Amino acid sequence: MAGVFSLLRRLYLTLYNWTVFVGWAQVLFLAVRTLKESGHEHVYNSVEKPLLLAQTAAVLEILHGLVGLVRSPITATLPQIGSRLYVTWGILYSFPEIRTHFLVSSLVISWSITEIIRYSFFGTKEALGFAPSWLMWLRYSTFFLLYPTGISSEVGLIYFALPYIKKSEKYCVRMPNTWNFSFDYFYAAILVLGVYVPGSPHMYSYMLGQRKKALSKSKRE
Amino acid sequence: MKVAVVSRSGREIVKGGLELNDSAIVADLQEAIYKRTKKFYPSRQRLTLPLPLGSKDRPIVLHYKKSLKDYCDGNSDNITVVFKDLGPQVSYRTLFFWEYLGPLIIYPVFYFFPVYQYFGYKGERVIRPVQTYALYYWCFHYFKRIMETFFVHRFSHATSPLSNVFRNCAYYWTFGSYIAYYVNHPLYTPVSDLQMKIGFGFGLVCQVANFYCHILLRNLRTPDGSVGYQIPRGFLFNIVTCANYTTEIYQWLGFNIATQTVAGYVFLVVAAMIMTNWALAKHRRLKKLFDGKDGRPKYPRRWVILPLFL
Repeated sequence: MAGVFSLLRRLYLTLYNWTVFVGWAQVLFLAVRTLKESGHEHVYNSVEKPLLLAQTAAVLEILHGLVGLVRSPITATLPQIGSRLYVTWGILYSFPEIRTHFLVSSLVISWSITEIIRYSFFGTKEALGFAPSWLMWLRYSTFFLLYPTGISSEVGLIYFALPYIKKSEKYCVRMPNTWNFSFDYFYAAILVLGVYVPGSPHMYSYMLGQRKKALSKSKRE
Repeated sequence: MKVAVVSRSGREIVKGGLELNDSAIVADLQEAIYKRTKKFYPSRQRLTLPLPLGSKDRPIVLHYKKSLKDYCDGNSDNITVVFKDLGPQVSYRTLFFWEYLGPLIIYPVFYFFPVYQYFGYKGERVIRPVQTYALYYWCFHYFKRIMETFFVHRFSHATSPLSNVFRNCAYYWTFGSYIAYYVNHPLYTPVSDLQMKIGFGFGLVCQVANFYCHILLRNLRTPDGSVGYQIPRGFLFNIVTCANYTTEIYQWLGFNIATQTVAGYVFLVVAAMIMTNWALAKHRRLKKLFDGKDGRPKYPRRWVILPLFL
């Protein structure tokens, strides 16, 4: 019985990882093509569908961690996925004025390259039981460049969207109301920017630690 | 007797070790270590007996009142103790005083001073009766806490790490400001008069009950804290292990029923979660200690913190 479950688990995870891989490959392809043919203002429109799908699918990964399907600690995946979903839905989708900014291109390219490597790494590992060392090297080395470019793009887009957030009053709850509650999406966005200050070095050093563990482990094997 | 003092990694903390009287107690050892190292005053020291390599057991912590001889197993000329620096310490009274002082001062600022004009609310502010009662209730609560800190509580440890001052003050002061902002807001919407009276009335009853729980807990310990763990008995403790936390949670519920803010309820949920963690640890500790063997009483069946739920 246990063997059947483990086989099903591998099958499901292989399917999941390669499906999302295809989504991100589409994003990268469309982004680069649009950049070459039309310019950075049109990149969001061309990648919107696969981007929203592939990024939102990542919510499943929280579930995978919770039910024990994968080993990743939820403390590492939650902030990562949280920031991605916030920028995707809370900034880009919600405030169309920001979609033509050139940082959208750097964002989408950083994310898609990272995810293509990541999903193919895990997809191969689940399917074959191991991943080739060059793929492992890519997964644990490209973050040196892509984390800074991705994080800068995220922070930049949130920052440049601030005037549109303030003007639109979107997602704001005002007083008076019976529950004496208020929420200001503009100040919440500033708070999010503040969280990036300790959050980014934390995530970066987490990846550094993971890299050390993974590459030394493969050396020993 | 000769005492060797080593770190957890085996490094000698006191070069050459220490020479102490055979009748010395642990407090004497702590003084001697402090004299030699100059930096590590006794409350910063955590002294344990060395554990065999790979042992999964929790190390035995040396109690400051016991004599060193009690920890030597047979060989009373030589003993090795493992030292850990707990970092700068403050007394629990200092910690509690500063974390409670924040809410006591910050909340009235929102009530008495024209703070809201800086948030963009110009013009007259009408103060409702419930906001005034809430001010009295809130300030009484934190005043009571400070009084209990100095005159009622008997602490199991004398000190707490200094870093807890920053962490705890951030928690209390931030939530205090968050709640004070909404209850005293110019656009605050009061609940019905009846609901307000029920809320504050229930809350006050729970605060009195909470005070009585603290008295009962105090009487379980002697002034110098040397009596070990005892089974709490009497009043609500017969039904629930951490009746003091139970009454504290219900007391905040009373405040929230009367004032009805999301901020207040968020604080209630977070505080309840924190206290539940503590309650589970205490409940498990007591059940493990009072297992009914070797003449020890067996810990009775009780709720942990919230009867009917946990």
